[in-house]
Amino acid sequence: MSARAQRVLVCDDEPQIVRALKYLLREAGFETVVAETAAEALDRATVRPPDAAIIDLVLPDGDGIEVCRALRQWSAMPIIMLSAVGEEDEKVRALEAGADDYVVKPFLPRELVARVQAALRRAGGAAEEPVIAVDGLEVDLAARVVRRADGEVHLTPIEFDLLKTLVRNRGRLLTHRSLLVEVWGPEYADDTPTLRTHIANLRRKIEPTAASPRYIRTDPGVGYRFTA
Amino acid sequence: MRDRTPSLLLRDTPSRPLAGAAVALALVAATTLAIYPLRKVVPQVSTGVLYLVAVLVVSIGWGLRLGLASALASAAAWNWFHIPPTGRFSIHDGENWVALAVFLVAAVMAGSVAELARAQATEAELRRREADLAAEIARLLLGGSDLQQALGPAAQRVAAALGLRSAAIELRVVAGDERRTALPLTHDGRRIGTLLLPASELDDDKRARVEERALPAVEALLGVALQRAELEAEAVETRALRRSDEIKTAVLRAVSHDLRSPLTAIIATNEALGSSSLGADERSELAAASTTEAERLARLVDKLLDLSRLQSGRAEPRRDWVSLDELLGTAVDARADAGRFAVSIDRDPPLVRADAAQLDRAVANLLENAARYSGDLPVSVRARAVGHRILVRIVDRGPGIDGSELERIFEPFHRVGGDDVHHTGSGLGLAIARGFIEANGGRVWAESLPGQGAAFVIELPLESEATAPRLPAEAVR
Repeated sequence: MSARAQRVLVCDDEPQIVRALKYLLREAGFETVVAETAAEALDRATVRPPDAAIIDLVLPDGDGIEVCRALRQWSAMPIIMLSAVGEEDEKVRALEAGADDYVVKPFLPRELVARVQAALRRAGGAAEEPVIAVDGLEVDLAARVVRRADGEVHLTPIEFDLLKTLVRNRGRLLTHRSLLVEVWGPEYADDTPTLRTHIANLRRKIEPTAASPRYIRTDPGVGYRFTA
Repeated sequence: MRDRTPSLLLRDTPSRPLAGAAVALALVAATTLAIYPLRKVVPQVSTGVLYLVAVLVVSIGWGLRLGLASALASAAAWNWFHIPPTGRFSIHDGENWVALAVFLVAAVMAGSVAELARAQATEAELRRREADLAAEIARLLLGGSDLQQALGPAAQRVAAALGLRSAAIELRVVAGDERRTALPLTHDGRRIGTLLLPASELDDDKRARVEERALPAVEALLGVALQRAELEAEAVETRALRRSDEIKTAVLRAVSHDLRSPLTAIIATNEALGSSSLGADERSELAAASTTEAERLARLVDKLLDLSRLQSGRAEPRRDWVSLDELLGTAVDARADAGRFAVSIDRDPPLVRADAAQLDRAVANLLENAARYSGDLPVSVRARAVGHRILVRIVDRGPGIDGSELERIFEPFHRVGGDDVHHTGSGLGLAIARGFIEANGGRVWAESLPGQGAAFVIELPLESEATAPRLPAEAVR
């Protein structure tokens, strides 16, 4: 993390929520830039690019997803969408527009701050790590080897690629579509059943208890997330 | 019904026999006279042929009996006037008997053929009328949208076709009495109604005709019409159910959406209160925000309860005499921004009979709506008695309402401009206002020209002057 405080753009028109988030982010060591409308958010982001953005889905002058899409034109900053609508379609729409994450109101502020931190870590650690160790699981990307506390895990090539994609984006919610395109190729973009089968196999091999997965979490109807 | 042009002689029914007898006499007499000049040029025996005209005309036009009579009359006249020796009957000549036989045979043949043709014409006419009746009833029962209304005209049509003065079709089982004969109507083995005909006009012959001819058509058509009405009712019900499902989904969506925002604010604010870096001002700011949001949540829950009471019909008003100026004044004063409301009320306002608490909820919601949309501009509240009603106008200077939205804004959770546009209100206030005002016998509607603000008008009925007590006149506030 750089010496200066990282700046987070918060765009929501609920003043009480914005105020509370401002204090909570400050407590976590962030500087906050506040915008109430889509236009204001884009103005502020252009004048002084923030390190991350939290954007409400419904804004007085338009759609938060459009803001996300506009920011993505020129920035790779982590974007987290807030919404009072917990519908899968909306989540997928936001993620496909380039959002890194999607948080449904009412959320636990601690969790939101943790997601911002995780997203910034991912964005900051762009350099390839050859070995990723997470909570008792070690993935050696270079050697294509996966180890658990009780020894090496044998994965098929597809399973390894799937795990690699999830681990590299750990903490981030990946849609079915993006996983299918990344691992299988664009022609498999809608083959969700295949993805399900492989996720189930992968869980059986790496999870301590496949029934209550610790590493690979399901976001029903949307996608999967590897715990940070 | 269109009348058929009758042929020259072949009428549907034989004409009156007296006229026939007169025609027969006249024709026989005319023929007898006509033969006198012909006797000079035609052999006497051949002149008898002329009488055939009279015999045929009478047989065809008036039936066999008069035909035979005119045959006899012709034979007699010919014999008396034209067969020598004239002036007396000579019955021993063979030609007389031949002539008589020819006349009789002609009469019988022509009469029978005419009778047959007449019977066939009658039958055809009956069938045509039945077909007309069926078509007419089909048009009446299947053409309109209201089956119940079509029953009267259809029954009249049946009566007309049967030559009865009246008839009635009922969609239920009706017992006959001394005045009316009840004929059951069934379709697919199911009793679907009753055809009622005047007992005094219904002889056995007519009854048989009704049962054979009219009844099956009426039954079949009524059965189809009933089936169609049932299907239509089902379709309407299905549509209503689907619409109600859609509304419920929208309500659930909107409720969850509207509850989430204040909840999020409360959770976030409370968590922020635990931050160590907070100054005293910030801390009290957050505490106040938490209270504000909790109040917002409470108001929303109140509105949801109001709405559910209204929609389940449990909002029975407890009516009493209410002074509108007092009620409007209190509603305005209860608002934090009371100063921006300009209230003006008629002098000497009559009291209304209403549930004061419900009216207050309605007015409060309308004031909230006006305040929300008029920015910082003032809102005027005026009340005026007009005839037997009192009108309250709440006028804002907001952006106004598009004509297509004027009614829809009163639907619960209706959001002007759709779901994607941001809304600060709950989308419930206007629905609640309308619900309570209508429960109290009044009406509320919106008037607006886009860009020129909106007026919400409450109309409440005034009870008669005699029963309504008056408050002392109050000057314009």
